Amino acid sequence: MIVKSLYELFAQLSPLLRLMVIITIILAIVVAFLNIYLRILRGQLRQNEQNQLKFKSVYDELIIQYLLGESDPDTSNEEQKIIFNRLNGETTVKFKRVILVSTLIDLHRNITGDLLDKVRKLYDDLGLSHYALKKLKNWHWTTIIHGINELTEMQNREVSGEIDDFISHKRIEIQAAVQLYKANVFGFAGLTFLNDLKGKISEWQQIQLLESIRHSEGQMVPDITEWLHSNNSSVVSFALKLTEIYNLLDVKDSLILLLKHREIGIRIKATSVLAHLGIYECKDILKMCFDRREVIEQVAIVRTVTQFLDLDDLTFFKRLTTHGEFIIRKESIQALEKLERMVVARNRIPKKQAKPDQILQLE
Amino acid sequence: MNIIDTVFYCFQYLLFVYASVIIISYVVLAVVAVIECFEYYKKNEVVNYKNVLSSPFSPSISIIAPSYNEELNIVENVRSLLSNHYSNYDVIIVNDGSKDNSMSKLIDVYALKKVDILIDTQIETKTIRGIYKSTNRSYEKLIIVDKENGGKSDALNAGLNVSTSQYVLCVDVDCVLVEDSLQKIIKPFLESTDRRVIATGGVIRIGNACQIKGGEVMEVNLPKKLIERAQILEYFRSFLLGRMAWSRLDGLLVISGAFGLFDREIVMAAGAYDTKTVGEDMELIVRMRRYMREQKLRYRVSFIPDPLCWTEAPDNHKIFISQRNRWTRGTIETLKKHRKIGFNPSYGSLGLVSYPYWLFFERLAPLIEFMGVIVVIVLAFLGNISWAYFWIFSLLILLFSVLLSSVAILAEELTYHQYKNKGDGLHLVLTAFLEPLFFHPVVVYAAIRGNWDYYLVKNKHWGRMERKGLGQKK
Repeated sequence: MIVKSLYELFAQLSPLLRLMVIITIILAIVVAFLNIYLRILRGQLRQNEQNQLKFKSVYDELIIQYLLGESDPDTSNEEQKIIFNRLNGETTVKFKRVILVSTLIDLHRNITGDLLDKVRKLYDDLGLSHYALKKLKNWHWTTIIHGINELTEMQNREVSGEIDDFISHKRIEIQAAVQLYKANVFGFAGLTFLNDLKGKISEWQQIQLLESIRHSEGQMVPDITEWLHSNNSSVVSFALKLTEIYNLLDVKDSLILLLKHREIGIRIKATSVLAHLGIYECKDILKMCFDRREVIEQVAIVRTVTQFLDLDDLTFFKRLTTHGEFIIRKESIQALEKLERMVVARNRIPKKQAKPDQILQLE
Repeated sequence: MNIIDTVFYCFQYLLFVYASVIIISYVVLAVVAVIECFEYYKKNEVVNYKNVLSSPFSPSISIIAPSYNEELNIVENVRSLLSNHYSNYDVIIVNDGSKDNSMSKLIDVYALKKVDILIDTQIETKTIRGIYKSTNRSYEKLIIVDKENGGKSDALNAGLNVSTSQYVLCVDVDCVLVEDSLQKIIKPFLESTDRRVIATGGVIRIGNACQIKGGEVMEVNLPKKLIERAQILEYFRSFLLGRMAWSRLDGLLVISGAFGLFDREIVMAAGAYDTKTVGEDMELIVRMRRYMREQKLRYRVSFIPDPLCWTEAPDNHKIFISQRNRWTRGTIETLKKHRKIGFNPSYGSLGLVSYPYWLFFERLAPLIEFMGVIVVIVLAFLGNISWAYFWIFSLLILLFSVLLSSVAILAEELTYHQYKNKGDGLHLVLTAFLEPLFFHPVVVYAAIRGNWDYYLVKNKHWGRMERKGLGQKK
């Protein structure tokens, strides 16, 4: 009866009002649905958080017991089997498996020495690498990244073939994850992808790669000349960072060549790396090309020349005290002050003793 | 039908069309924002931010925080800014001619000593009385600039002059930054390979009832007052839906003055903060975008949904109205100053999408809403109102507003889930229903007052913003 009268009322309305009523009803239904879902979701999130804390502490304890027990084979075999079976049972439930993996990863990050290998072995024995590999076949890119990252954390070398398939994936996020896997697991040897890399490596990714390599100990730095001559400027930039970190003096000629690179960013970086390595030969080249360079590059040049300061630079810096750029004026004045001190020091030393090395010592 | 009836009839349809367009645009923005939020969250869930912390190649950042009469909390606020987990950064506190004892407190507590530093005064500011650094090595990242009073923009400009970093984070001194905020907000700048990121904003949260200890948020609580809760919802909508979507569509016109990271070189090239506007944060972004466009440089203004900064929101109507009045005047000033870009195809989406959107749906919305109320009152007085239309229309708008708030709450729950206490969800939903009825009219009133002041009173002052200090209440 009520429905009928409501419908009659609705039928009497103008088309515009009828449309508005329909939209209002739809909105009301959606709002009601959303708020019910929100209530359920909050309850679930709270429950999940509590469970996560509970299971994490249980797994933490079990894993540590398992790992430490192994060192005493007479007493711990039976106990270990029980723990292993218990953990193995947990891997069949996705929610518990996720917590177990994150517990193992946390532990792996915070321990050193033999225990590291034991954690990796336990991870493999529990078949968790198999689940991580399954993630690589997932349709969603974030799941694939999760899989790759998990295997990266666990330094799993055996799956490198499967992961390599993703090196040219259309999503750069996946490419980045693969690059990190290779750098983490194989160190410098894993950086071969740089030889024919088409896309650019972001500054963020470069930092991540460098940090991954820094953690790989006892490795010889390969010959990076090819990367310094790469057509991909991000590869050159990365190679310059490697040169700076590992003080690679043998690439000196390549660095000097980079002062003529087409990209200003590379030229600036090369200038500062030359200064960092103390390659004196670059000074005259830099001074000669100073006027042809943009202000931002001129700043880098002035800073580098300052590093190799000697009395021959007096005219160069005097000229720059009227430069339009504040930083160049400031650096030049500071350089001139240093030069003045050098002159004073030289004049203090009797002429027959005034050798360049003594002046440098005083300075 | 007489002429008055015709006018009202047309207005009724115009209002419907306007509301429909605004609703559709909000729906589109919400969908885009939710997708962007989830993608960002999923993508960054597994990122190791610690690497950027320890790398010698992390770019330098200066945190610039202007301070005016902040004697009560300045020492703690500075300590909070100094405790960020990032290696290559400094903190520049600009004492903007405070009349209280802020400066002497800072000197005492942080063992400050006046130093001689050559400054490149690229931007004109009020006279700098002195620059101080600490004699204690634990505070070597701290630089205090003591200057004559010139307002927030002038103080920020002084900080920009003093900074030598590649990036500058402009914050309100009383904000509580999350300890890894710098690691997270620098990422968009370093991640982009095809375009230069000129600015990035992060989500600001309201910390009015939160428990704060040692400059860190220990417990997130929902405040009790409707005005505070309504602002929390408003921030959810504005940051998680609005700004995330505009960032994705490359049309973001504002990054909050309370927390934004900028490429210093571009800020300086664009002319830094305008000291003649009260909406300096929006004005700077528009000017930077305009500069990049005019220089034909590829760029991007980015936004990330991580909650990185906690701020104190007004907890009474008087201060709230004063704040919103200022925001309105800031919007008017910016849109007026940069009217050249509006509807101008040579500015691309900035001129054809962002500017018109801000003009019609941010600048004019409160005025149209206010006119709607006047028309309803006149029609009711004349006995000429269609009550069916009125009620259905009001209900539709109310439900849409609740829907939008619910989506924003849902996005928050599915990503960062900050309000964990039992009952908070229900309170937020209740607020979503009450807000359009009791809070939104105040927002409209403040906007009308802003228009009135701008055009008739010519009030160019900042307005009063009393702060009690986060974690100081209760």
